[in-house]
Amino acid sequence: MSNELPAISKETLEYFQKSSPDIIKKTVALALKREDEIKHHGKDAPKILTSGMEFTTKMLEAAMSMGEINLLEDEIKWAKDRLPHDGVEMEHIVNRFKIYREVITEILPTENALEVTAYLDLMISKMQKLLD
Amino acid sequence: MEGRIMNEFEIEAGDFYDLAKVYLDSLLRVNKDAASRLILKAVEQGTDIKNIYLYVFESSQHEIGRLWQTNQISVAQEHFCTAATQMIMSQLYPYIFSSSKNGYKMIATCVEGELHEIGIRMLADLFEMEGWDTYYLGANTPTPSIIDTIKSMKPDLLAISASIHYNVDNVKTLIKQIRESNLIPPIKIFVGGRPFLLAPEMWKKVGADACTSNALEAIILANKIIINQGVKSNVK
Repeated sequence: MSNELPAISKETLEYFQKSSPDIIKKTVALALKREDEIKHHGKDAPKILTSGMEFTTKMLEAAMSMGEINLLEDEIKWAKDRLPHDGVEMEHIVNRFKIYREVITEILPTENALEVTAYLDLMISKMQKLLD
Repeated sequence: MEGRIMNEFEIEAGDFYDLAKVYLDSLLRVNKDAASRLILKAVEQGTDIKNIYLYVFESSQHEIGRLWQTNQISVAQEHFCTAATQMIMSQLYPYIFSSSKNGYKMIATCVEGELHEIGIRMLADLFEMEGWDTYYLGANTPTPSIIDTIKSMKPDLLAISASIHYNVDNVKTLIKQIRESNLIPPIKIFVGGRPFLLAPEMWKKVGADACTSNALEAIILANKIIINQGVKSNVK
């Protein structure tokens, strides 16, 4: 898998930005159903998952608009080193990213979704490698 | 200590590791007065302030980041250490701001939205020590306010910092507005911060003239492309 991706089109970026609140909301709703992965967060689970997905969305948007996958690699390293100390396991993050990916394919028009999922697939693959 | 692997802190601090280690330990013990005394004593004994900035303050800040990332210190401790270092930097200003001037001006600022200011503040201070007239605008400076300052100060160089990836787009917007303004002569623009180190070609995409990995490189480059070539943007 190539480590180089072009910046996404202006049209896709605008779709993504406009749809982000819905994408996040739906991803969090689906992720909350995976009770084993969220029960330790207690009643704060919706808030923690929402802020995590909001942060992910902002970082993804930055990388996609610049065409710089390196920016996401740094975030993956940060997620691996830091987030387990805050009770968020890498394995759970990967699962949430897979949900996020599916939601994007549902919400965005196909050709726009493809541009975004190219970044997500690379991210998920790199995270999966760290877990293996 | 043959065969011992040096950690990143030791590598970054180099010959100043002992000083940096005691300095950081003082901060982590929440003893900013001891840290301050240590630095002022080192300066009085002849240690170059530039070396204190580059090898004590900067390497300590990086180590603080690593300690936070590995959950060895809290966010509050990280913030305390950063604030204490900024206070100690201020105590060195009587030495820094007495340097003779070279006739060149620079503005240093964090882009709108960016709260991590210590790196760009260090850069501004190091330029000041080199004789530049510096205008440090601080954290999270609104784009229109940066533009107005450029119009009024007419600097030879603008240094912009972004530490968080999602602030890079604001850097691009700011530079675009500067380049498109009829009221601003062409000025050299340097960008810096973690995202630009991770993506070494990204400075071109945001329309900057250069990206440097540290303050020393920035000074060398500014000397090369502004001072040595006699470029004065503010004479237009």
